[in-house]
Amino acid sequence: MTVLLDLFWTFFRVSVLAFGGLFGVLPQVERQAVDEHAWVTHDQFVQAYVFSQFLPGPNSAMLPLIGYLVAGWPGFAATFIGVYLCPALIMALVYGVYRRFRNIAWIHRAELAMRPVVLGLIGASAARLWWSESTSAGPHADAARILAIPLTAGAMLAYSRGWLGPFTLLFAMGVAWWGLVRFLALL
Amino acid sequence: MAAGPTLAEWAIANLRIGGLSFGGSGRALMYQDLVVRERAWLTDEEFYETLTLAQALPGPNIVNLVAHLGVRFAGVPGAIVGVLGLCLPGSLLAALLFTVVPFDHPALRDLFQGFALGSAVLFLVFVGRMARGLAAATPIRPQGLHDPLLWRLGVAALVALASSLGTPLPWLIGGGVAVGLVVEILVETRA
Repeated sequence: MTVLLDLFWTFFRVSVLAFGGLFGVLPQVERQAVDEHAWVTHDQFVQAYVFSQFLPGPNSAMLPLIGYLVAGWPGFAATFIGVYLCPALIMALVYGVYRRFRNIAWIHRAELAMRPVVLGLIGASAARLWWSESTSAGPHADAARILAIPLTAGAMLAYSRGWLGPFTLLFAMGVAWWGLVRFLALL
Repeated sequence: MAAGPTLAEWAIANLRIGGLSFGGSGRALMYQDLVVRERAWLTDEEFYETLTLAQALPGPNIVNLVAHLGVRFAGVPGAIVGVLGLCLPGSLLAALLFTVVPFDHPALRDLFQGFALGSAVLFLVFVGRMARGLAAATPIRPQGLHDPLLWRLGVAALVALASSLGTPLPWLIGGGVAVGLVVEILVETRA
């Protein structure tokens, strides 16, 4: 029972304090899960992180996974509630308060001021994500990165023009990148 | 405001995104496409307002966004149903598959990396749309240095640069909003 409460409380705090998603607080999560509680090893932690990047839904799927590895399905549930449901309920309340007061000039001004900040944050993360995911593990990694530029531009155009929907785009990119890495391995 | 979805429609919409979206914040774009373009449950302007608040508050951004949209469409049950639909499929798959999948197999690794690259594409399209949304929210534009859009984009560039240099997120947000507020007040006094 204590381990369930520990899982809930540890991951609830991590989730609520994470500005800008799990990526920003990953070192704190590792310190908690590996060093302090010894719930998983460092290798398991890294594997869980990489694995959760490949799964649908939020990248933080690694947290319920850790809960599952520690204490089975009850651990999974305790973590899921702490990471997602409780923060969502708090946010639902905050949103209600915001909607009531949104006409006050300062809130409107703060929201306008926040917009470029969010644009900057998203822009930087987009660039970082593109860079990390265009790093091929195969031979000729430099060529793969250069070829990823027209591939990305083409996919952006195809999506903006409505030629591809979001899901077909993801799968097309998956197959295209797989083919590209295979092809470069033949050279 | 356009008519919102029923609780069931909202649950199914979230399950679709939660079960089929891979990696990164391309999901914000999927929500925009679904909620604004496909179903017209919200206008673009209402969506950006909600997204900005979701980004500004602590917590996983996409979960905040879904909680806010859910509470707007269907109250607290809407928030719960939305978060379950978005988060449960991936979390369940993670727990069920983690011990089974041969991660080190090169073919699988490259295919999944391509999926993630695809989500970077969605991400980049979304950045472009947000920049255009910022331009649309700046209707009055004097020439040269008096142009408010120039200053707002300057704040965005500053935050992006600071972020690449590894500035901690609370500082990025606090500092960025402080600079942004100064810009907004200057824009107001000039207008």
